[in-house]
Amino acid sequence: MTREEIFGELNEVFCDVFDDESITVTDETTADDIEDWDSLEHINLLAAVEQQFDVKFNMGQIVTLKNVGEMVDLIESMM
Amino acid sequence: MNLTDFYFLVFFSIALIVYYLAPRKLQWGVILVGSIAFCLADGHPALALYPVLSSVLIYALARLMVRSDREEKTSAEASLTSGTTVAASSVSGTSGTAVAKRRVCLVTGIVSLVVILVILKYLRFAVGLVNPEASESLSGLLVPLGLSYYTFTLISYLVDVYNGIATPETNLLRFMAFGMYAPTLVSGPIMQYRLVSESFYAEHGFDPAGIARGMQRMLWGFYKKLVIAERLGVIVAVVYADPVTFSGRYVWLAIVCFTIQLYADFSGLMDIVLGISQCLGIKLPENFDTPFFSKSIAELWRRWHITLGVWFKEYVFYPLLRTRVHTALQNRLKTAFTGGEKKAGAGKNAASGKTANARKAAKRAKRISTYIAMLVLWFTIGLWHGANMTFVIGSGLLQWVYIVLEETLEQPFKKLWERLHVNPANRFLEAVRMIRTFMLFALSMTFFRASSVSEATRVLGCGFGSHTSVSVIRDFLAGFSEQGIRIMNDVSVFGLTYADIFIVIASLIILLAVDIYKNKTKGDIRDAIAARPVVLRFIIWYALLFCVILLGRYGPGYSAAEFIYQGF
Repeated sequence: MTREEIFGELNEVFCDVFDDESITVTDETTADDIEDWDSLEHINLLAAVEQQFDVKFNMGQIVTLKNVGEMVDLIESMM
Repeated sequence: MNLTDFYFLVFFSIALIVYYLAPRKLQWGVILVGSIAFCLADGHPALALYPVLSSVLIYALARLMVRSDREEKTSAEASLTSGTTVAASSVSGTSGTAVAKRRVCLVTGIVSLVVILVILKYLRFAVGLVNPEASESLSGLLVPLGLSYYTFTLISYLVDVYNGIATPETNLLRFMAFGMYAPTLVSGPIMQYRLVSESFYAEHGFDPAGIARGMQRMLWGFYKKLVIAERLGVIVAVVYADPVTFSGRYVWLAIVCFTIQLYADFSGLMDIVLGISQCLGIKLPENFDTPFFSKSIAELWRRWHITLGVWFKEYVFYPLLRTRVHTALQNRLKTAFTGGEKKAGAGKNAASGKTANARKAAKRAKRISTYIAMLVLWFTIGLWHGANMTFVIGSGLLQWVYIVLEETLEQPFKKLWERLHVNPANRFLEAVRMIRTFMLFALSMTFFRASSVSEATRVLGCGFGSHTSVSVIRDFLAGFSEQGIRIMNDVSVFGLTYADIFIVIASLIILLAVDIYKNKTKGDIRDAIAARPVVLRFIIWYALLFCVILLGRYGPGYSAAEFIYQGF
C-alpha cells in the first residue's frame, strides 16, 4: 500500500469517526484542526484506524502521536 | 516545612548558591541532597524512607526491563550470526518470555506503589466504611510528604519505559533526584520523566535573568496565596461554620469565595514551585491555564490541575478503554442497540438505511461504554483527592455527571439555537457558559470543602434559605458615617476587618486582570512587564514584594497555613 493509498483510506476513517465528509487530512493535521478530535475521540479514532488497517498500536504510540503524518508513518511501518 | 515558610526561603537561598557553585555535572546531586533534607525536616525522619525506597524499587524494575530486552536482542543476534535456522515458534517464544518479564516488572512496580498508597491513605477510610471503631486503631499511620504525587510520577516513568517511550535512567542517585524532587512533593505538578528529564538533567549555567524570572513567579505565587487565598479562607471558614445564620446569598458568596480561594491557593503554590524550578533552570509542566474562562466542565478539567488530568488520561482512562472488558461491553451494547434500531426502522427496507442505523447503533454503543469507563475514571480521581466521600462526590462523581450531561445536551442545544437562528458562539452565550461552568464547579467544590457529605448538603440547603439580617452593604455604608474611617479596622461579620475586605476585592481585581491578559494573549505577563521602561518594572515588582510583606497574612512564627492541596 502506498502512502497516498493509506492517506485515502485514513481520510475515510476520519470522515466516518467525526461524522464530517468535508475533512481532508494532511501530514500536518493535528487534533487542533478537527473540532471533535478531543481526548475522548482520540481513542475511538485509533480503534477505527486499527480496524481499517488491521494493525495494533501500543499505548506508547497512542499517547505520543503528534500529527496525522506520524500516524501514517506508523501504519506504513506496521504493514 | 512549608514553601511559604521563612526558613524554607533561607534554605532555598543556600541551596540555590550551592547549586550554581557546584560542578554542572553534579547539580542534580545538590537537588537530591536538598530534597532529602527537605523530607527529613518535614516530619518524622523515617518517613523519608518511603520516597527513597519507592524510587529505588522503580529504578531497579526499569533496569530489569532493559536488561531482559538486551538479553533477548543479544540472543537473537547470536543465533543470526551463528547461521542457525531459528524456528519461528522459538523466536516468538523468546520474545514472549521477554514480554512476560517486562510485564512482571511493570505489574510488580505498579502494585507495590499502589499497595503502599492504599495502606497509608485509604485503609482507614475503607475499614471505617465497614467498621468505624476498628478504623480508629489505624489513625496512627503517618503519611510521607507528597505520597500521591511522587507515586504517580514514578508510575508514569515505569509505564513509559515499559511502552518504550522513555529512555531509562542509568544512575540510581540521578534517578532519585528526579523521583523525590522536593518542590513537587508538596503538591505536584506530577512529572512525566520523558518530558521533564531533558531539562531536569541539563547542565544549568548561572543565568541571572532566568533566576529573576523564577523569583518573579514565586512572588506572584506568594501574593495569590498569602494576600488572596488566606483572606478568602477566613470568610469561607466563618460562613461554613454557621451557614444557618448567613443563609441565602451569603452562603453562595462563601461557596464562590472557596472556589476562588482554592484556585489562588493551588495555582499560587504552582507558581512558587515552577518559579523555584525556573531559578534552578528546570522547566516543569504547567498545572493551570486560567481555568475559570472555560466554557464547559470538560474544558475546565483540561485547564485545572492539568498534570493530574493528563496522568489519569494516559495511565488509567486510555488503558481502560482498550481492555477486553470494555470492548466486550461495547459490542454487547452495539448488538442491543442494533436490535432496537432494526425494529424502529422495520418499515424502511433500504440498504442505506440499514447501514445508517448500524452506524448510529455503533456510535451510541461507543458513547455509552465510554460514559461507563468515565464513571470508573472520575470515581478514581475523586478518591485520589482524599479518602472521604466528600472528595469522591465533589471532585469525582459530580464532575462525571456534569460531563455526561454536557455531552448529551450538546446536540439538542445545537438544534435549539439553529431553530431560533441564534449564533451559539455569540458573546452573550459564551459568557453565560463561562458563568454556568464556574457555578457548577463551585457547587461541586462545596463537597470538597465540607468535612462530610451531610455538612455539604446542609450548606447548600442554607444557600436556598431565606435571607437573614446580615447586611454587608449596610455595615459598609456605616464606614462612611460619623465614625468615619475608624470602622475600617472593625471586624466584619465575615471575620475579616473592612480594610481586609477592601484588600481582598482589590487583589481579586488584579488577579482577574492578570488572568484576562493570560487568557487573551496566551502570553506571559512577565514578558509584557519586561518590555516596559525600567522604572515601571521596578515599581511593579517592588510594589508586589511590599504587598506580600505588608499585606500577606502570616500565621504564628511567620508561616502561612498549609496549602489545601498539600497532603493529598
